[in-house]
Amino acid sequence: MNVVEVTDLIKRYKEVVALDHFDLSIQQGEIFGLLGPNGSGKTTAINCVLQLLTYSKGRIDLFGEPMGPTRYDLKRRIGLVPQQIAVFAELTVAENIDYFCSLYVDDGARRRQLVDQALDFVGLRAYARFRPKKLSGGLARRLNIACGIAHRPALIFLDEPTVAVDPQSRNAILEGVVQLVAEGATVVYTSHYMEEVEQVCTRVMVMDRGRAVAVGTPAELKSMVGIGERIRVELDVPDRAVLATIRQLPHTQRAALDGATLQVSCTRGAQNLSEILGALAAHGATYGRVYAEPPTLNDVFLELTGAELRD
Amino acid sequence: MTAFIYALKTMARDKSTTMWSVAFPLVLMSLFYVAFGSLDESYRAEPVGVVVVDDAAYRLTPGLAATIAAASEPDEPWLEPTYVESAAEAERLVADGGFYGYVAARGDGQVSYHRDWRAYGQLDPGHEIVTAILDGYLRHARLHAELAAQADSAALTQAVTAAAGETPDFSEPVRLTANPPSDSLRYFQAALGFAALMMCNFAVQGVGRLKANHSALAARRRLGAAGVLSMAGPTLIAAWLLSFATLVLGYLYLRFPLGVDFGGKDFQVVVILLVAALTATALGSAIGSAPVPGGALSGIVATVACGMSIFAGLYGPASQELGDSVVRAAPWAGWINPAREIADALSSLYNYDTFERSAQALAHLAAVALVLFALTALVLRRTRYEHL
Repeated sequence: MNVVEVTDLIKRYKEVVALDHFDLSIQQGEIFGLLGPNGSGKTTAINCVLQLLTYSKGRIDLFGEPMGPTRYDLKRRIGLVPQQIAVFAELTVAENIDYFCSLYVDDGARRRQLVDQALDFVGLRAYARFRPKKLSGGLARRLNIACGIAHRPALIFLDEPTVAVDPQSRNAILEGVVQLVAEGATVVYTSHYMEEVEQVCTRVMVMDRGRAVAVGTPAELKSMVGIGERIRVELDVPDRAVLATIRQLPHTQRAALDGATLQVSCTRGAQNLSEILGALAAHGATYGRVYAEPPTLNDVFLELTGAELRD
Repeated sequence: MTAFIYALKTMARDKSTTMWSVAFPLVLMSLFYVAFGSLDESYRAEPVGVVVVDDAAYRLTPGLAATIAAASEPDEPWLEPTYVESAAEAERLVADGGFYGYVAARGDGQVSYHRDWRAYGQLDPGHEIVTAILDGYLRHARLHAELAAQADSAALTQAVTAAAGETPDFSEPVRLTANPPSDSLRYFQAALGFAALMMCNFAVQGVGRLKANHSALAARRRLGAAGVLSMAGPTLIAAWLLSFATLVLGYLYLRFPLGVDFGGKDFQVVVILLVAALTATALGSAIGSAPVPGGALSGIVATVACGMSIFAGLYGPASQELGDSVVRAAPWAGWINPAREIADALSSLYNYDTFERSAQALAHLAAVALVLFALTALVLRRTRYEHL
């Protein structure tokens, strides 16, 4: 069963079309990555799904049922971790978690258990009596997550949960996401950090200008755009003639000299490295170290959405 | 219950709200007390201290003793006499200070008043009071003597001289209001109205955090498995209780440390404050739900509170006259002004024997509260998170 099913969604802000016939299907147990440049419509899509925004046209089903602003039975099964840290500055860590949990769980005894579990899950037990102002950026992010997941939702929206946190906290958060899914949740994850999306997401959608540009597993996306590896060769002597030869090779997409380092982006090909090294040998060019890096999701993202700056 | 407790905690722990809702009105009341607290005393006549020589001549002038006794009656004394046996002793006391002068009968029916010019100036009204009382006595005494000398009939002489010799009662005070009029009290009644409006901040903060387009926190709350109105209920009850508790605190501060008397009807004052807090909460909820940025809301509250307080008479006689003339011309302008109605309810409580006039003001306040709550509900239900 699809946990999220969005069909032909259109959302306009006056003349601006934020979502343009947008479709989305997310299956149970997935960590679904939603990628896109700023203004591509990721957050608008999430807010429409959560009924925080009205929309012009389209259909949204959650857990197989139509979603609406007063579908509190469905809302009860959803958790949101917004990009901004959205907690009460006047309440302690434990009180904040308890408050947000109380929006979904009425039973006090059950809630106390859930708050305890959430505190342990995000590692904030020692800070339970702290006010959010006293927490570091990473701890505050973890509190933000705890408030969104304490009621054990079946569907969790994580909107850039790792912004401005140190690598240790980021790792802890990512491990937590994987654990949530292992415990039965479905996660919709948005981020600008491609490496972490690639690390945790089972499927990814790339959005641009309110549309889904591509959907698939990270491997499928890489194969979809035909990007091969990126090869760097540290030449002993920079040679413009060698560069011209490399650019003529059939799988060379881009080639440039950065000082004495030759940088080549290839299309998919089985023998890209040997062809480049062969061309260098033919020119009598000598070199030191050679690096060959497989394509990343970042390359796919730039390929699909372009490299120009967005707002 | 959980929502109510957390609403109470967030409002009570918010320093900015507490400062504007609790500390600021208390400071304002203190300033008013310093400025206007002694206003009534400045209008009140203090009894004039005089020494009376109670010698043989005085005892032979019974009308004088009766006059001085009548002018010294404890309920509204004009004189505060100190009796001595000789003029020498009276002179010594006056020289020691604390008396306007001394009064002595001369034995021929005349009375002398020896003023102390050093301690009290020639224009001091205390001297005028003593002189007026003694002149009154002398006029009566002369009339009495003339009638006695010229009357033909013994019966007439007896009746007329008896009437002329009666102890003058000066004037009989008739009280039209339940308590003595107080010029300063109107400021404190208006100050409580103003304080009530400043309590709006509790509801403004509470409702502002329910507007999905106000903050990420509000949007997150709106995703909860409860409708916005069911979340607003506990929030507004918490705001009402906090406003009420804070108003009672302000009243107790005025009542006891500062000693401002609201007519001794403490229970009725508390009832008025309960309704005042409800209206303030309704006004705060309406302001809080307005589609304006959060930072502007406390400015709006201050503007509304200060503006409405003009017509409640908070800023002095000109403000009081303006408010009174507006209400005379358009009574509804008073009904829709909570600051004015709160001050009126307190004023009616002080001046009238019954609670009826205050109850009318409270009915107006409750009606305004109902309208504002309905408006809030309407706006909140339509709020969506239209930008991120």
